[in-house]
Amino acid sequence: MIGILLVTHGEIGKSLIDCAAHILDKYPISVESVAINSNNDLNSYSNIIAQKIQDLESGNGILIMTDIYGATPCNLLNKFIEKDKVEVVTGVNLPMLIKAISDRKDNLRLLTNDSIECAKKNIKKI
Amino acid sequence: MMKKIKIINELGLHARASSKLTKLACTFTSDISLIKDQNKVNAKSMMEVLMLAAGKNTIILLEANGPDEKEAILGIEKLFIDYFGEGE
Repeated sequence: MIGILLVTHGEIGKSLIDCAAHILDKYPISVESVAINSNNDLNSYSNIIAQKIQDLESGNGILIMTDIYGATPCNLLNKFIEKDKVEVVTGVNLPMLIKAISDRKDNLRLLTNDSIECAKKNIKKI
Repeated sequence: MMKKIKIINELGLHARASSKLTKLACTFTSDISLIKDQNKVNAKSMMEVLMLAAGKNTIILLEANGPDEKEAILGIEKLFIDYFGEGE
């Protein structure tokens, strides 16, 4: 199963996972979060992220979701990107996460693209 | 096989209801779709179902094609009739 890791400003990632669990009526497996707080040592976060990636890896790859492109959580992730093994997407929102959890496939590239498309489709003026 | 269904629960096809519907739909092998106006979505994909934005009193069309289409229509229709287990 593809692992999903949310690396976000503060507890956004954890909250998104909690909301997804409420909606899906089940706590998702192989989904973790790392909360980045600016007053802590950035190197320690790299170690935490590396450990989470290792824990989540089961042979099908890891999809990492972060919030703001170019912000610290995003920049921390650059060094972890490995084509078809560890992919990073920005602009995480609840639809993106639910899509990734509920339609989790074994193809990381497909899951990455589907998640991005779902996130975009859910941004609408109503 | 097709069936017209009226949404009667207060919150309509909201997130948790869509999740229940999708989970049930995935237990059938038939292809199952929901149609509202001109929009047809895969009933086995929760985020597609949500894109219908179908509220209370909306009429939708449930379509199933496959070996267990009858059971699928009956099972999913029951979910709507039972207010998705929400009590109203």
